[in-house]
Amino acid sequence: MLGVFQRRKILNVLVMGILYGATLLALVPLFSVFYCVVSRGWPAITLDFFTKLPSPVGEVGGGIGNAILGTATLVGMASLVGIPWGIIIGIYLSEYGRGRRATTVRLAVDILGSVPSIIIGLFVYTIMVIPMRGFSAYAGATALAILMVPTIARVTEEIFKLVPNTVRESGLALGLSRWKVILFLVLRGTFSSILTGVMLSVARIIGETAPLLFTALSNSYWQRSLSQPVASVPVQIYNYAISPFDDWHQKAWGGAFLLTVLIFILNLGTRMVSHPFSGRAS
Amino acid sequence: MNTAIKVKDLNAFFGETKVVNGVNFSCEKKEVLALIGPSGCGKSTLIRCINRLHEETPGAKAMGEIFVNGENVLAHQVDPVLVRSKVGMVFQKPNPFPTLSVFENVVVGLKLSGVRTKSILEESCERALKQAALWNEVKDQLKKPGSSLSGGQQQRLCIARALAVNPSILLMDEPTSALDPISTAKIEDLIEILKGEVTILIVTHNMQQAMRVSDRTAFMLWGELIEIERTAKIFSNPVDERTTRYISGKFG
Repeated sequence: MLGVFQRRKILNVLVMGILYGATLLALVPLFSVFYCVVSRGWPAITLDFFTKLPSPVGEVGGGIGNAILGTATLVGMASLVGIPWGIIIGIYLSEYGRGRRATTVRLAVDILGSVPSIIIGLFVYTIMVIPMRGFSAYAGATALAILMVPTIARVTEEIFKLVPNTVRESGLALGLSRWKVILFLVLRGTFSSILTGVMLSVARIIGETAPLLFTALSNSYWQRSLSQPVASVPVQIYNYAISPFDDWHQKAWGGAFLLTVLIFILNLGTRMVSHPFSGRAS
Repeated sequence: MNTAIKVKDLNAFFGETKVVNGVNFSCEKKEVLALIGPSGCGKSTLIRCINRLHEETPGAKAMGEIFVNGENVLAHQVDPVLVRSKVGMVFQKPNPFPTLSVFENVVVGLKLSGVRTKSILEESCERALKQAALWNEVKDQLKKPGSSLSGGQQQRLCIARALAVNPSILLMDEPTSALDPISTAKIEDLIEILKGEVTILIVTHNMQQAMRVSDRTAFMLWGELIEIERTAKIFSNPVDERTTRYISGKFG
């Protein structure tokens, strides 16, 4: 008997060791990235970094204020379109989607979600940049909006499916039309959970570089029009990182630090609101 | 015209499965009609056809005629939304809207139908809560979430919610099966009071309850209506042998 017991104990220790080892192995790169970004990026963070334009080649100083403003503009515009668009598709899939048509839509959304972002960039380049004869904030925001839709649509669908059917039935039984039940009774309890999907998708697009290279391009000055090229933090990092100047390298690390912190905050925020129905009820 | 509901040759399906089979009966205005029968015999489906909630389930359909106040509500051109504003429903489990307050729960039907005047909403809320015998218990906590009330109070809140839109018929689908005996007694007292104003169809598994609250009782088995009779008669002297066996507890 003791033999069996001891064998189990040894096996237990062994398997636990593998589990802990694997976890540790996954954490090492994460924390190395953190350490690397923080230690090299932090020195670049000054007031000028946020407020000034990039300095001309050869001059030290300046900042990436225009890129920060550009990223805020692009993400803002993309959210304005992508969030409602995604939520509407999600509502369709959960509340109306039945049969083959819904299966097709669901599959399409999933495929769209796994299309490499550079392809989305090329697509928008073809349908907007070429006809409009120029890179623009509009094109950049369109590419980002397309990237947001799948995440938000699927999260919305899943959250809506968690709402008990009794909510819908009792709403319908009161003589309310279906869209009113969905909009005012079902959606209402899901706000905090849908916010999770929104934040995840914002976290995803905020660091996208490839689609912006073909759409918003970049700009060394403050943006003056949405129909012109606009700077963004990830593209600025890219431009600085491939340059031969030490000062620019440091600015690239600063940008990386900024993005990392933003994404970290978004993910943390997601964690805090991600429990369904924890919002106000209970 | 004293008939509130008249059901003619009603057949209801889930996909290919027939769950209500050729049911005919009618129900007088301000009558309490109890539906009894074993689980799965089609009682709930039957009453869900009356407010056309049955068809909201994917693959479900109903055929036949159901006249509510003289109008065939199963006809194609009839808007189910209008039917449901005349035929209220109370469900098995108390299900107040979890994100709404007590007040909002009661008036949500009116509010979303376009009533915006605050005084009208407040009056309707008070009237409906009084009708549901809940006003005295909750008048000081109208702003609290509906889900913060006790189970019995929640169910009376749901009754108030249904009454607030002024239905002439109230469908109750095992309204007390999730409640304790005291809360059950309160709901039964309430039915006694409400029958002066609305027609009530109540599905119940509790035969004592059917005896206590209903004027007539209908017994269903395997989707068919076996017998419908005055409650006192059906429980003392049923015609059909299957009714006798069910009532005496031989099956179901």
